[in-house]
Amino acid sequence: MESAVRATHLAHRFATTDWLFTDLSFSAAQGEIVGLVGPSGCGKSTLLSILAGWLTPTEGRVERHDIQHVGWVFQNPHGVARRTAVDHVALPLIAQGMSWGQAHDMAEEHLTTFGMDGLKDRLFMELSGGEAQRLMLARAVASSPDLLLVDEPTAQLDRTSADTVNTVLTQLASTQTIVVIATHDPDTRQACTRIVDLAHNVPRAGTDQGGTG
Amino acid sequence: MRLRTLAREAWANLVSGTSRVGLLAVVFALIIGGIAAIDTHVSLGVIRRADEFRSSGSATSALRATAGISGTQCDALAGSPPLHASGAIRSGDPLRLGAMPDVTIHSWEVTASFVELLPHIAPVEVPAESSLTGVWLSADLAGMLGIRPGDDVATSLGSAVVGGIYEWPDDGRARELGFTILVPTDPQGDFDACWVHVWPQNTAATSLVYLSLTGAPEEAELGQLNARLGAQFNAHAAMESRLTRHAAGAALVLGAALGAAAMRLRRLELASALHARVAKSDLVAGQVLEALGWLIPGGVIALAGVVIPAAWIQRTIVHEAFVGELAAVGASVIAAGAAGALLATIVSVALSQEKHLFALFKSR
Repeated sequence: MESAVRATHLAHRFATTDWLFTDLSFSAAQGEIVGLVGPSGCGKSTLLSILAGWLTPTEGRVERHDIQHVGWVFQNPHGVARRTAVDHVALPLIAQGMSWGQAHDMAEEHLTTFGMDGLKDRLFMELSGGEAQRLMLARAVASSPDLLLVDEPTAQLDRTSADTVNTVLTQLASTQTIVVIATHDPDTRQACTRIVDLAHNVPRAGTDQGGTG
Repeated sequence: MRLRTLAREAWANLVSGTSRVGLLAVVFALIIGGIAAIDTHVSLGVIRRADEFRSSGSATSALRATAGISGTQCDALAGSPPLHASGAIRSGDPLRLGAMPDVTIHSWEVTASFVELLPHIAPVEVPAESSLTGVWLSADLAGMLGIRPGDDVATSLGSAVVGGIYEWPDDGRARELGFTILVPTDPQGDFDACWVHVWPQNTAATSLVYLSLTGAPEEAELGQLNARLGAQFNAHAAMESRLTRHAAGAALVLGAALGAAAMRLRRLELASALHARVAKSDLVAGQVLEALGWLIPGGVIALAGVVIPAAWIQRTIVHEAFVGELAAVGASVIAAGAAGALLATIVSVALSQEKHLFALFKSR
C-alpha cells in the first residue's frame, strides 16, 4: 500500500524555544492509525499542525499524496454556543452539498455513532467537556477527511466514552482514512497501528529517528 | 451550498442569538444614528439660515421704475424655477377706515400674483363683488383692528372683504408695505415696481425682471427687498463647508469598525466553518445575510431618530421641502455606515483562513 503521508527529517523550533524535535521521519498509509506520544510540551500539537500544512517545519518536509481534506479535532473543543449538537455535525454535510433535511438526518446518525443520540437538540454551551469533545469528533468524521488529526481525544472523557471514541477511530481507519492521534492514553495508544514517540527524539545533536513501529 | 440552505443556516444563526442581532442593531443605531442626528442638526442650522434669508425677503428683488413696469409682463415672469413668484405694484389712493376715520391709510394696487411674494396668513377665496373685494391687510393693521380674513371692512372708498393678511415684520426689509392695504387690480397698465422671488439665488434669473420694464433702463433701479442678511447666501456652499461635512465618511469608518468587530468576535467560528469544508464564497454570503439581519433594524431605528425630529421640524419651519433634504442628509450617513459594515464583513470573512484555528487554539 502506498504511503499517503510521509514526513522526512522534520525538525522544528519556534523563535523563542529550543528544538522541539529533530530529524523526525515517519510515514502513514491509508487505513493506519498513527499515535504521537510523549510528554507535554514535546511538540505533539506542533507536529500535527505541520502535518496539516498549517505550519512550515524549520527543517525537513511533509509529502501528502491524494489528500483532499484534512480534519482536525482540537484538545479544547470549540463550537457555536447557541447552536445545537446536530447543527454542528450537519454543517460539513451541508457544505458538501446535502440539503438541510438530509444533512440533519445523517448528522443524527453520526451522533448516535458517538453515543450522543439523546443530545442532538442540546445547545453546545449546555454540553459537558466530554460531550463537546465527542461532538467535535463526530463533526470531523462527518466532514469525510482523508487525514484526520486528533489532539488528545480522550483527555476529557470517562472510560466508557473514551472506549467509544477509540472504537470509532478504529472503524474510521478501516474506511481508508489516515488517523494521527496525539495521546497520553494507553488504551488509545493500543488502538494505533504505528507509534511516533517524541519522548525519545533526541534534540539537535542526536540522529535517532522518533518513529517506531 | 444551496441558496435556500444558506438562508436557512443564516436564519438559524439569527434566531439563536449567534449573530448578536439585538446588540449589534442597538450599537449601530446609537453610533451611526448619533452621527446622523448630529449631522442633521448641523444641517438644520444651515437650512434655518437659508430659510431666514429667503423668508426675510433677501431673495426677493424689486425693479423700481415709476410708471415704467408692465404688470402683465411682470406677472408672466413667475412659474419656472428658480424664479418662483413675481408681481407688480404701484401706489394707490389713500384710504380711511370706518374704525379709524381720522387716520389716512396708504394703499397699494398690486397684480393678482403679487401676494404670492408675501408671507401670508390663511388667505380666503372671496367673490368679486366690488373693486375692493379681496383686499390684503398687513398683520399690524389687521391686528389693531381685530380683522381676520373673510371679514368685511368699511373704507372711505366703500365696503371691502379681506382676502388675506400678510406678515411684514420690522426685520430690515423696506417699510413700504407695513401698516397698509393691498388692493388686487387688473395687471393691464403701468406699475411702479416689479418684484421677483428667485431661489436659489441666480443672477441670470433675477435679470429677467428687466423684461417687465417699459421705460428707460437708466431710470430703473434694481434692489434687494431686504439687505440686512447680505446680498448673497449660497446654501450649497454652506452645506459643503459645514462642521459635520465628513459625517458620512466617519459613519463609513465606524460602520466598518463595527462590522469588523462583529466578525472578530466570531473569528474562531469562521475558521471552524472553513475547516468544516464550507466554501469561502458561501461563508461570505451567509455572513452578509446575517449582517443585514442587524443592519436593517439598526438602520430603521437610526433613520427614525432622524425622521421623527424632521417631522417635528416640518411644523416649525416654513418650507416643507427642507424636510426631505434633512432626511436625505441623515439617510446618506446611515447608508454610509451600513456600507462600511457590509464591506468590513465581506473583507473580514474573505481574510479568514482555516489555519487561523491553530493559532487561535494555541493562544487559548
